Amino acid sequence: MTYQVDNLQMIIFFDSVITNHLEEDELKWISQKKEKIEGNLNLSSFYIAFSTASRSIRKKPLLLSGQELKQANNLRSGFYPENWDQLHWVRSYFLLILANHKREAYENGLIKLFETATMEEQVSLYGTLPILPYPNFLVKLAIEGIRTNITTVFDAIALNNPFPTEFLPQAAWNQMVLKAVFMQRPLYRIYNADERANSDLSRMLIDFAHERWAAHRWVSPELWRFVAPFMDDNSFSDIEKTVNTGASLEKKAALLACASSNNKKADKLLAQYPEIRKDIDAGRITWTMIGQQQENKIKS
Amino acid sequence: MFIDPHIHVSSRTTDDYEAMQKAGIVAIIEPAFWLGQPRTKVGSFQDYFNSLVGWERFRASQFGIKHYCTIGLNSKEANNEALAEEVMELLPLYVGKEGVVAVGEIGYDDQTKAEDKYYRLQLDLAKEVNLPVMIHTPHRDKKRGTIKSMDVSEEHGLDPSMVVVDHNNEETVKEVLDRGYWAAFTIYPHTKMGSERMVEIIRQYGAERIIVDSAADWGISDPLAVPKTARLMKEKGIKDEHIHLACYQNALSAYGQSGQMKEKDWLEAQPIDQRSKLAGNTVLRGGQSPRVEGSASSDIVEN
Repeated sequence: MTYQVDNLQMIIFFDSVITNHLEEDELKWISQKKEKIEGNLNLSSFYIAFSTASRSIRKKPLLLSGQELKQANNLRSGFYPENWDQLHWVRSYFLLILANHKREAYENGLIKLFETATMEEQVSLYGTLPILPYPNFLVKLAIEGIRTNITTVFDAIALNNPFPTEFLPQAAWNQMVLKAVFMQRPLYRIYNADERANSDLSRMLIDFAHERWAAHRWVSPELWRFVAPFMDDNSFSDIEKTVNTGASLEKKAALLACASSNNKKADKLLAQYPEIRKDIDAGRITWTMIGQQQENKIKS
Repeated sequence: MFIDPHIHVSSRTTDDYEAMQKAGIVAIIEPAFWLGQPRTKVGSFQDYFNSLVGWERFRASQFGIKHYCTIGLNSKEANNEALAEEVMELLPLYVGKEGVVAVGEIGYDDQTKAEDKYYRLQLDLAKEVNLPVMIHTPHRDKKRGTIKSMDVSEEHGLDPSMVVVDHNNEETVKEVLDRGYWAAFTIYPHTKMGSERMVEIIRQYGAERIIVDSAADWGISDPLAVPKTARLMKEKGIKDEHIHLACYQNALSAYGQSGQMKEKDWLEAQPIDQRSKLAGNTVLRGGQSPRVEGSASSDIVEN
């Protein structure tokens, strides 16, 4: 695959968003820089434009209209840039312009940007992954990014981003989910995560839960989501333990895992909790709801 | 509220960060300097600059402290000319970045020809990108080196209001102030200033354009030098207004000229909460108990 999106269409979309939301002096600065980085590309002017954006662009939230958000997602499914600030938009816009140049310049430029990025620039770089060309080249950058310990940077890759689900090899994907659990990140924000559930991941998550229990620490209720499709008698005993000893949210999550597994013992266990089963069947207990409640609990 | 506008926190522990936050330090500036031994590859500089704009910035945020930095080639390492050339090529990539508040710390160490060359080139760079400059004045032959630093800066057309001359003492302060520069003092045991001498300086010169910092690093130094000196000033009857200028406002006014350092960065920051920000694998190792403002420390190592 070469393109994840039509680059020119995306540039036009970014043009319209930026024109709609930024102020006159900012637009003037952008158009001056744009002249320098379109046409004949001099990489060092590009680096300067990218890294000095914070001097001319205000770092304030950019609130997309519903129409704009819909358009973003039409251009690239799974692309929801609703939490990007203005500076992020401008940096990503420059990246799209870079991507319009010859492949070699684009790849070398991008590598250098990743190598020298500030914490905030890293967030912008990883946030732009789903709309940049040559995803196979981007994969190694994403894998390196997952090794970060900076939460905002990790979140930019792992959460609300379709790139990892679609392109990461399984081992890297599993590391990302495991690390998200370890860092207490909200798993329900991982885009289409269920598509990539696998038995290896399930085993690692169960081992992780055992370690946590041995140290008398709590285990995220979201974890059982990825165990459910591979539930065997061994993992069932962990689910059963959670149902019997967990707090209300943990119990609901473990029973939701039962509902989405094919294990007979799990069916029987669920049958003992008709009220919860009713809520599950009616869509009142979902992984999103459990994730949101857990996220609020961690925050409060 | 205090600002420590010169501290090498990469060399400090998390205990220091906690103590700094408790003592009222809200913002810090970490100047690029040498690491105690010379670097031999340009990649070491790149990774160091990256940590100043990346990892250390994040680490400070975990303790509720807003971290800024300055970028530059320090005078000691300017003497390795082949390497210095390569570092000079890197600088334009960093000086314009978010949170970079000055070119620094630059100036003279031995006052060699090579030091002079790269000092001048970096003054031009600062002028080109309209950033303040942080000058490191030499330990040896200090007075002459300080005067020369200012002469050369003027020769390159920098306005003294954009230049902070650091590591002053009783012998250098008068001329630095008279010529319109910001005069910073480093409270660092044995080699630079002590708190009591600092109080006397303020008594004599007032607090206009005077800045107090710690330059705490990998040596025997004190990350609480700014709040400690402020407390001593208070005890010795220095006016609150002067303490505020020397230990907070002047640093903000001088480095705020970069456009990259604003009071709202810390006044409107989110309350610290290590639970929501990271936990697990970051500054809190696997399952450490996160610190929420207000909780007390413990005599055992927590689970």
